[in-house]
Amino acid sequence: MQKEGNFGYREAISMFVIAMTIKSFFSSPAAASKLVGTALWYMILISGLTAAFLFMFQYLLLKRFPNLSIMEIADNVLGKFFGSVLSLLCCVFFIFTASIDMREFVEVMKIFVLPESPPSFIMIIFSLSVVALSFMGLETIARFSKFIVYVLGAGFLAVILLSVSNFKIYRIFPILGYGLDRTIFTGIVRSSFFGTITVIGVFAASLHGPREIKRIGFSSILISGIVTSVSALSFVLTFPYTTAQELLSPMYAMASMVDLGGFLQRVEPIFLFLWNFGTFVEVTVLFYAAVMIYCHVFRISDKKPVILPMAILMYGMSLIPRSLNEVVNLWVHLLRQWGWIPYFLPSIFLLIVSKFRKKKGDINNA
Amino acid sequence: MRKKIAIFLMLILILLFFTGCYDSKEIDDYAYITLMGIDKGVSDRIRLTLQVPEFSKASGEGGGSDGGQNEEEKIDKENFTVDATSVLSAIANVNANIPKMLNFMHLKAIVVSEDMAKSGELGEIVAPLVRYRQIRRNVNVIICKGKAQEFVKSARPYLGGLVTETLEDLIERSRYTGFYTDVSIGHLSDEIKSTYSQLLAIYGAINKGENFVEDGPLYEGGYKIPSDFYAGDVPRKGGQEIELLGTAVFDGDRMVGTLTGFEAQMLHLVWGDLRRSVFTIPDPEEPEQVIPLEIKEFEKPIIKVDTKTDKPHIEVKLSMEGDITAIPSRINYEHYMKKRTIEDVFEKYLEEGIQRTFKKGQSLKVDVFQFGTQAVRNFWTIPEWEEYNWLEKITQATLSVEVDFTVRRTGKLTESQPIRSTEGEE
Repeated sequence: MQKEGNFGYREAISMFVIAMTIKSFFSSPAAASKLVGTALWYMILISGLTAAFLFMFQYLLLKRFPNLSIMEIADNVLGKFFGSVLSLLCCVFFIFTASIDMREFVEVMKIFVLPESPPSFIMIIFSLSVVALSFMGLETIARFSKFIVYVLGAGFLAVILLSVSNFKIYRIFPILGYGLDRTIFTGIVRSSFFGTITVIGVFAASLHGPREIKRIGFSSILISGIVTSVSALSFVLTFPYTTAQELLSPMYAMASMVDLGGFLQRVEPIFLFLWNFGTFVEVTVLFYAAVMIYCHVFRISDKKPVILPMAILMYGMSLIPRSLNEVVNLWVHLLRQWGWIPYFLPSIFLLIVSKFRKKKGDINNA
Repeated sequence: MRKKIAIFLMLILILLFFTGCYDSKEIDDYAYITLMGIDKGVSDRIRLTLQVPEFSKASGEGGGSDGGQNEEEKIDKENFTVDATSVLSAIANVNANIPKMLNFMHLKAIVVSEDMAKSGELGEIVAPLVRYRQIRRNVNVIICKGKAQEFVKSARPYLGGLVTETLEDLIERSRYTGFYTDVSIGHLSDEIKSTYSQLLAIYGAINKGENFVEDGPLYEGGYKIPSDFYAGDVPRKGGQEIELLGTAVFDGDRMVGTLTGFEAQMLHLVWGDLRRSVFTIPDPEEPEQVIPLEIKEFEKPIIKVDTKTDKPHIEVKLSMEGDITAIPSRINYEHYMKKRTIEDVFEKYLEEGIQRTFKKGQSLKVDVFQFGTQAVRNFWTIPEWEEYNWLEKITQATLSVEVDFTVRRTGKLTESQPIRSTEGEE
């Protein structure tokens, strides 16, 4: 049993909420707007509900095997070899997602803030920060998240409230967007937006039992869903659906349009702060989950020597896409469309196999 | 030993962070462009005029307030004009000739010549500027009569201060006067692609006082609707040379016409965003006299759009209140029975003004009042809305306007006594 650190549900919820909601500050809203138009804000709620439903299977699995992580459950259910294969696939997926998210962040930073800095320069500094936090361990990541979530929440609220003067109610119409059927289908498919919640399975041993996992999981999805929906709603009210699809970072564009009384303007630095710290937490969470899986598969008790090589691997993977367009139009698009498979299906698969093979965890562990 | 290596590595990292990042630049490294003018070019596709005011070391001064330098020389030094294929290539050309890097981060307005706007190239040359990171979405866009080059050169700070301040205040004034619409490059990019509405931009011109007739026979004509001019036509003398009055209307990215200052006021009244404004109406009982009213909105306008038929029908209901600020005829309109006359006249005045503006918009095939933003509520899905094609349907729409106006106060006087002279009472 891999237990790391001692932190409560608030820390865990902060960590997962930041990791899930930060994606709405990049290209995802514009891409989703292209599919559903003005229905974006409630499509996100449909995605959240779908994610909650799919997460339920992971919760049932973790409840069946109390206080075990998903890797240990995989070993138990599928045997050491196939369990390791499944775990390593998840590891590769998490590190790949972290690298794409980092690359997207770096490219967007280059466009809006640091046009002359080489991407590798920004990525190295970012990766070193991820390494530094990872060295401190899961407890530090969680506690840092709890510390920063209040600041990020306040900044987020500030950007939304300051943008109210740019809202026009008519932009929410036609209310059904491109059609309710399309909205529901897209919402279900894009439940991968909330897929980061499945990392809870990797950290399960450090949490205080299935009941707490349930609380963390569903609360995180609920809070993330509401926050992301609010940001999507503000985005829909600010930009007509025809131009919303064009924007790289609608939230940044919203922040840059704030101009109250000719006095309160140029408030993008608030938004940059949210962006930087939020992405930092998200990438660290995914990266650390990959490190934990890797160390479990290869029975490495001390994670520290693995962190730097994995970071180099993440950095290398993030250099693979040739341009921002490839990142956004290919990789991020693939992750959003098909990410629900690697996020949610392993848990469903393990649950089915465990029921079929009548495998159960030790109730004394509960 | 390991401790020493760790300390050494930390010191190197600290040094790395202290060097700053690639993008750090001093404020003095840049020359900040405050105004940009775009005309059709002669030796290349576009003619770009950039105003880069000299900011003096004294706080709050800049852009024309340095009295020691010849004004003409100063204007020439601060305004660059270059013909180029694109805005960025023009910037590169200018950058080759000045010691500082040009920077758009404090750009206040983009001035586009009417010729350029009418040629339909707005969407090709101006709208794409929203992609450039230095240009903010809330940079204003002004369509100017004549050459943008002349307009930019004429834009000087008024009564000291900065030219950016002057422009910002001037554009902000529209909230009180309603003589033009405040539009930014972000709006421009949205509106030329919108299915709800079309672009309405600020219309500007240079007014050097040519319309002001210094001497001649005194005016004996009848009532004239105030501000029923286009920019540049106001008979005035002195003050700012640049004049913002009226609205340029677009069908897509092609300018198809203009609205006068009065017509632009009608837009703001229907939109419900005119804070307080002055209207002058003819005196109902002595038509050679006028009655100025200061009005404001009492309730938000109610707009209903019926899209069930092929020809949409629009109903507008305005609820206004106001004060009588003068009664030159000294007729006792202050009396509660008599004030109804003023109210009726003003209601009719506004109804006719709104109808006239609407019909003008229809003749230009433009939804000037942006009724599309209301009509869209009748549709459930985007395909249905787009198939309806509101921008085409508006040309066949009918409009009925109802105005309810109430005079609340009559200024500091509650009645008007007659003027007495040797000839008796007037």
